[in-house]
Amino acid sequence: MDGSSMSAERVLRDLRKDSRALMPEVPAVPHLEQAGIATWTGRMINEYSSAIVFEGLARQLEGAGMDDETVRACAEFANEERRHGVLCGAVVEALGGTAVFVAPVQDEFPEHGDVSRAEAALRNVISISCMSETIAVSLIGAERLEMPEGALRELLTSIYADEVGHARFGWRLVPRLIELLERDAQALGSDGWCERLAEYLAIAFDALETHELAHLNPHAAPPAEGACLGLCNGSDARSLFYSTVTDVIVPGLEQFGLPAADAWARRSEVKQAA
Amino acid sequence: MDQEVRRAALRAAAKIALFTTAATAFGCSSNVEPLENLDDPSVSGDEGSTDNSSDEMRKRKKRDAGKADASPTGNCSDTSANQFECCKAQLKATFPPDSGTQLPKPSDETKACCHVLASHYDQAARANNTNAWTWGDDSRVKWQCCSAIGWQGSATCTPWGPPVPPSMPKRRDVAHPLAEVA
Repeated sequence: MDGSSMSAERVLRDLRKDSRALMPEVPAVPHLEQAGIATWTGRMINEYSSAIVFEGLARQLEGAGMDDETVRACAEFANEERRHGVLCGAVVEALGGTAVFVAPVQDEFPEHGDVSRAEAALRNVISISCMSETIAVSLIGAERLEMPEGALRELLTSIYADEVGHARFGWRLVPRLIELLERDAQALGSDGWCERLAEYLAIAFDALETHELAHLNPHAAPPAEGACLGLCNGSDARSLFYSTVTDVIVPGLEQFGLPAADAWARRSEVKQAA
Repeated sequence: MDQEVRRAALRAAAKIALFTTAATAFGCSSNVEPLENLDDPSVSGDEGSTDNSSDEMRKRKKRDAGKADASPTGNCSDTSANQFECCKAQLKATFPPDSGTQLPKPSDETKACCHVLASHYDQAARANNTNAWTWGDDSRVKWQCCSAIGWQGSATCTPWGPPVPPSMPKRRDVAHPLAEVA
C-alpha cells in the first residue's frame, strides 16, 4: 500500500501516492494549518504504526485456539490501521503537508511466554482493545461531535467506526478468554492466573497513562475554529481520558470480576518498583 | 469541551464496554459494583474540586514538573541566555535546506534543541502569536524537528493507534506448561 525505503537504521514511509488519492476538502483556516498538519501527521504515524499490534494479537489468538473468524477479524484490524494512516496522511496532504514519516522504533510485541496462551492473549486484549481502543473511541468520539459537518467529519467518522469495532472486539473476547482460563484452572488446579492478572492490570494502566499523556499536550489550546480541523484542547482531552478510565474501563473490567479498580489505584507503585 | 459532548463521548464508550451484567461467574471476584450513571454530571468527571480526573492531572503535573529541565543541549547550555538562538543555529546546520525528507538519525543534542524550539513556539502560540504555529522564521526546520522528537513536543493531540502492550517481568525461568498448547 505504501512506498517505503530502508536506511541503515530508519525506515521512511511514503504514503503520498495513496493519501493524495483520498484528500478530503478541508476548511480554509490559514492560521491553523500548521497545527492541523502537526496533529494529523502525529495521527498518521500512530495509526499506521499500530498495525503490527493487531498482527501480533492475531497470531497470539490463533495460538490460543480461537476460531478462524476471530483470528481473521483481528488480522483485518491491522489493515484498517494502515488505512487510517493513509486517511490521516490524506488530511496532511490536503492541508499542504507531506504524508511521509520515519517509522518509529517499537517495542517487540509481548508474547508473555511464561504463562498459558489464553492468559497471554487476555493480557494483550485488555491492553489493546479494552484500554487503548476504548480511550480512542471516547476521544475521537468527542472530537467528531465537535467537528462541523463536512468531508473531514466523514473521514473521521469512518475511522471512528473502525475504532468502535476494535474496542468492541476486545470487550467481547475477554469473557471467552476468562472462561478458557477458568476451565484450565479447574482441570489443572488453580495456578494463580487471577493474581498475575491483577499485577498485569496495574502495569497496563501505568503504560496506558504514560502513553496517553505523552500524546495529549496539556498546553494545546487551539481557538474554537480549530474544531473544524480536528484540533483538540489537550487539557479537556486529558480530563476525558481519566473519566473514560474511571467511568468506563474500570467498571467494564470489574463486570468480569477483574480487580481493575485496585489495579488503577496501584499503578504508580509499579513505576516506583521498576 | 462542551459538557454534553463529553458525556456523549463517554456514553458511546460505555455502550461498548458495559454490555453485560451476567458476568459474575467469571473472573477473580463475584462482587460486581453497580455501574455508575454516566448521564449524571456529578459522576462523569466534570470539573470540580472532588473530580478524580483533576486530582490525577494535578498529581501528574507535579510528577512531570521535575522532569522538564533534563535536556542535554550540548554547546547550547541550559543557563545560556542565548540558548534559543544557539539551538536555532545548530538545527539549521543539522538540517540544511536541501535535506528534504532524508533524515539523519537525530542525536540527543539535536533532539534536545528541537525541544527548546518546540517549547518556545508552544509558549508563543499560547500567547496567541499565530506565527508560532509555523515556527516563524524557523519553519524550515519544523518538520525535521517534529519528526526527530516524535511529534510529541509541540501542541498536538494525537493519542491514536494502540501502542504495543507492555510486557511483564517474567515470574520464572521456565515456560508455562500450557504456553505451547493451542
